[in-house]
Amino acid sequence: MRRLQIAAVLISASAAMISADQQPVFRASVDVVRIDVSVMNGLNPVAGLKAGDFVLTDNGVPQALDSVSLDSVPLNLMLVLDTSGSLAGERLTHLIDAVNGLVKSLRAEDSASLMTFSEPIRLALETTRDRAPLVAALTGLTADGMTSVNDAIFLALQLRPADAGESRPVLLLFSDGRDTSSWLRSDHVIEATKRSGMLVHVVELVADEWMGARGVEARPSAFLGTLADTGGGRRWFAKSSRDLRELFGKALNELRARYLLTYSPSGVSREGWHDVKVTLKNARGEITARPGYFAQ
Amino acid sequence: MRMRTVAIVLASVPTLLAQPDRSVVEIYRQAVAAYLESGDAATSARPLASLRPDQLEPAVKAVLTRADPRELESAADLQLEIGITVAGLSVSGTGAYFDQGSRLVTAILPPPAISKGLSAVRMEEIALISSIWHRVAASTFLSINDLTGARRLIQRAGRVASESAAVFTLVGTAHEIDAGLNDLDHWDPASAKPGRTMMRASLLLRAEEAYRSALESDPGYVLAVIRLGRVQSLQKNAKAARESLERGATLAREPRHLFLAAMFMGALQESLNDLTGARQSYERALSIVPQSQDAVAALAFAELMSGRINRAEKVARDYTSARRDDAWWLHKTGAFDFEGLQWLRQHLRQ
Repeated sequence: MRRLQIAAVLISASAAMISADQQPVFRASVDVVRIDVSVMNGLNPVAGLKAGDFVLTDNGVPQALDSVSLDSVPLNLMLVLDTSGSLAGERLTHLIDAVNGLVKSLRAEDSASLMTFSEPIRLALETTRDRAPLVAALTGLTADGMTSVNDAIFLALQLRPADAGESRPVLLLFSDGRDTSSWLRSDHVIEATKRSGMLVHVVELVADEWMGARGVEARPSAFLGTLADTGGGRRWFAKSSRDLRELFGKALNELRARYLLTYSPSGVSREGWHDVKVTLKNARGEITARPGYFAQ
Repeated sequence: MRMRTVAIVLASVPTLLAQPDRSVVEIYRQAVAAYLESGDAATSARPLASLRPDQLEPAVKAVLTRADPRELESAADLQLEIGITVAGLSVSGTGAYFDQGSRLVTAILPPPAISKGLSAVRMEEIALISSIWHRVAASTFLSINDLTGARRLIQRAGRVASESAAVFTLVGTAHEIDAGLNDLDHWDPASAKPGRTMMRASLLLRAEEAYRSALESDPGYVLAVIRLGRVQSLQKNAKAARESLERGATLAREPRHLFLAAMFMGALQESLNDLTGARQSYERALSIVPQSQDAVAALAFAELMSGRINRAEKVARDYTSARRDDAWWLHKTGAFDFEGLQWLRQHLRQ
């Protein structure tokens, strides 16, 4: 069954003007919606699609696409990494190795930031194109404590890149466990994800020996699956931390193969939730993207 | 700041592992004496930095054998300070330090044959030290959601002061946190085990009963008033919850109590779709405890849901970018008993 979901970023042409003490005032008369779409044929990305190959509806109203681009917009990657106690030892070593591999594969124009969480959440590195501080921050990671994955995802979503129009903001989450210490519930995070323009990819470590040794049944987190769906991304499972390097590589390759659809909504109301559907004509493929976007 | 310093010291001082037990006994004795003299846990504990709790055991036994009440109290408090310091870094380490400290503080009360000669005032004082010590240790575990460790220590506190409003309140807090961990998460069927909803309701009821017992014991015990309001809020009894939380906020004097009253009121308002009220409450909480991750997450979410996305981002960025030196876990949930720790420190200095 085809999965039709839409990733969208609502960017305001004249920007929402909000001061620290004001209620939001939206001045935009022309909004541009950017939809980050993956088209796969089995395990292979479908390349070479043009605007005419896509059919997009916004709240059921067909929209004219302004542009379709593939792999031409730099990535703005927010790495959100679980460093809770269950990652201690070789699992952390494998994680650091995997993320280092991903960092090395980034292009010069791509940027990245690093957030870590166990119980506390820390922005270890602000967005940068410089790889050296990123590698240094990764090298210094330690694993301890419980898991505030809900609060971490939520806070990461708030730190969206300021230049979203010039880059593709992506949240790449790695976690191996369920939440044990957040204030926010999972449904809070899903709601925040709907309101965020960030594409959300998840790499989840499941069936790890650590969990088995503690009598915890190892199975994928349904929440993380919903998170990836809502964020228009994908989820990859690792059965061993040794697989992480390969999976992070797959995640990056998938990001490179996504289309960015851009349109100016017409014939739809301005505010609220917009249900977006993308289908293909003249081509075959499974589409993965965000199911809609929230405008206010 | 002090506690974080201890943590750094614990991780960085060169090893003393090669030293024989006799040296450990002497090093420990000097550290305890230094703590008694200065009250500075960070400096006093520095020589113990690379010694694991099991390596301290001979030294702890030596203090128990000498049975000097002042040394026992000082050693117990030092164990408590170290345990608190490492709580967010190593739960098992904290448990071991606390177990040793618990034996030390319990030993302040001498065997019955000797304690017959003690005055009633002194007996009461010893019981108070032990009760507060165990309460602070239990609250440390509650602040990092370790219910097993917390309940064991609450039980010990209850042996000394079974009718204490503070102990009843800790019992209720453990049930309340347990109920939170059993919250049915409809996004994750893995957590939707049969009976989990009933389990949560039962835990909330037990928490409510514990808080009511605390208030029977001491009608003005403000923490029980506030936590009762929280449980009533989780039970969807908004009217009663508001009354309790407003009363708690009025009675509160300690920053931690004011913080909790504000956080729980914010959550109640949010559940009633009063986002403006919720934002104001969370802002108040954050102004009292700026290090609280819970308050940051709560406020940023309320800002987002109010459409104030730039404010949500600022709150999130200010917190996640900050470099903090202290033991962050003591501020996270508001469960840590700062007042009790302060009382123990002052008592030792008297």
